[in-house]
Amino acid sequence: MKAIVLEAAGLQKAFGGNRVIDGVDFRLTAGELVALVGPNGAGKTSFLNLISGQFRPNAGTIVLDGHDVTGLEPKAAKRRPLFRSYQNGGTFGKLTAVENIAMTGLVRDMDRKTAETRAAEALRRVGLGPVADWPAERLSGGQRKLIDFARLLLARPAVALLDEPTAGVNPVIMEVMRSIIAEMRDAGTGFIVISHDLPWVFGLCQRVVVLAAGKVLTMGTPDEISADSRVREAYLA
Amino acid sequence: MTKSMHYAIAAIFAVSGVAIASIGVKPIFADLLILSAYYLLLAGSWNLLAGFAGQYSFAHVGLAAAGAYGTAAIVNAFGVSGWLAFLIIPVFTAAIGGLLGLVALRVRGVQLPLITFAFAGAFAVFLAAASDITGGSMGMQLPKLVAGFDRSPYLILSGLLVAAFFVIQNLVLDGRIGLLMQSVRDEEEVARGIGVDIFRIKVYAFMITAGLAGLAGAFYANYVGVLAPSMLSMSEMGMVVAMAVIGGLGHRYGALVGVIVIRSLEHFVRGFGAEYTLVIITAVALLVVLFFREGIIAAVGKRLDRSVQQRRWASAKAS
Repeated sequence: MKAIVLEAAGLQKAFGGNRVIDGVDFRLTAGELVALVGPNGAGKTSFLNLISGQFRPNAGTIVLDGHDVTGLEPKAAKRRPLFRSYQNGGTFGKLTAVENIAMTGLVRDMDRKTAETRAAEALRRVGLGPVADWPAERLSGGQRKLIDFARLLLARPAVALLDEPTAGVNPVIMEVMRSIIAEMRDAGTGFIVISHDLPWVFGLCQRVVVLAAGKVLTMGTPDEISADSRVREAYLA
Repeated sequence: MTKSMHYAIAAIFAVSGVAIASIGVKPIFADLLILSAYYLLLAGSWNLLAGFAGQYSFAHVGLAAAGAYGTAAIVNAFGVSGWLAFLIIPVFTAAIGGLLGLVALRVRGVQLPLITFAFAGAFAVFLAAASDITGGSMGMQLPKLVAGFDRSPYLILSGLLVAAFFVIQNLVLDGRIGLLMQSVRDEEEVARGIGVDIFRIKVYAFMITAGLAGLAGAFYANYVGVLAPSMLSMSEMGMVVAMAVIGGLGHRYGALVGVIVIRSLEHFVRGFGAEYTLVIITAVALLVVLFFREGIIAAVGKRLDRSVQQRRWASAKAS
């Protein structure tokens, strides 16, 4: 049986009186890829923010790679087995592409030279070698998404949270992303991937979790979810 | 530019100070160069804080004044050598900077400029009011570092301090902290999300730059010998900001270019009177901001860089 790399129990988060995450239980095993889907405002990004420590839960626990990380900030050493990417690209505009990726190494105690060497390798891997020295603000939206994604290669995490990695990205880059994710998943990284591109993410995942109004509406295999009328209704609601 | 080129530039300044002192220049030019070194330390360190760490603090001349008055205090009250002040004072102002860094963690947007501006204003009022200790508007005196009117030692010291500033700036920007500081400047929330310790970075940025501002203050006190609260006036802070912005905020040599432009202008238009000097400098600042939004050096650098990058991209595509 595969090891559990992430376990969330009874997670709750409210802003004012509005519960954006309402009692979510979640479990991820090593080498598993879970697609997190749901209509806009369902709480998908908030769920990732709770797991990554950017939000502090009002209730519930989060265990990451065997350590209780509930309420710990993203800078905590116990959170290093976790990586997350951002919906809007998550890049630093004035830093070069290499420096942007190297940041992931620096916060994992790598020295700057090693981090930049490995960042350059990661950039070549995703086909952005020629723009390694360009500031991120001069790159296209798709290239910035790819930079954020390439950080994954430096982090080599136990758990990766990807927030809309393919939004605004062309099919060639989507294929590059798919092969890297599949390779890392097969090597044991557990993934939670938010995507509105259901055919793309269903082609990669073993399990789909559907969130609606901050709660788990249903979960199952891609085929089961595709056939579930409640999911269609939630998207149309 | 490579790292070794940046260190070569620092070395050039150290050697230049000695060379100019040996050749000898008119006192008016010596004064211009020596006070330019003071402004470079101030504008350069403010550029590090605002341009690279994104912390728009307006307490910088206040910190320099704390350094200058601190120097006068330890020289006069304890008989400490003015030379020793160059070591003691940066530690003292770095500690004040650390406290300002703690404030910066609690505030957002326009609150930091407001709070730091208030800090500088309150300090100016204190210096004027505590006339028993500070001499008030009459000024606080301290013995000169080197007796007599020979400016050569100060020219050498100016070169060494500018060189030291560039070495410290290189170490910061080429090290881990430089990249972490810039990530906080560009996207603080994303930086926090990927695990950057925002608390530590802000406090370090304030401490390093406040230490440099204190060093500038110690140099000013030792050179000028008479201190008045006007050294931390609003126009002085405006001048420091203008130097960094005109040269290129967030560029390694932005403050250097800004200091050269503004100090040269000040020198050439001084015949019109102090108030017109300020008007002319303001007009130049406006023109630069209108035509080179990111400063002179950034505009030039970007053009050169763009052509290099385009060639590289074209050759990569061709291969």
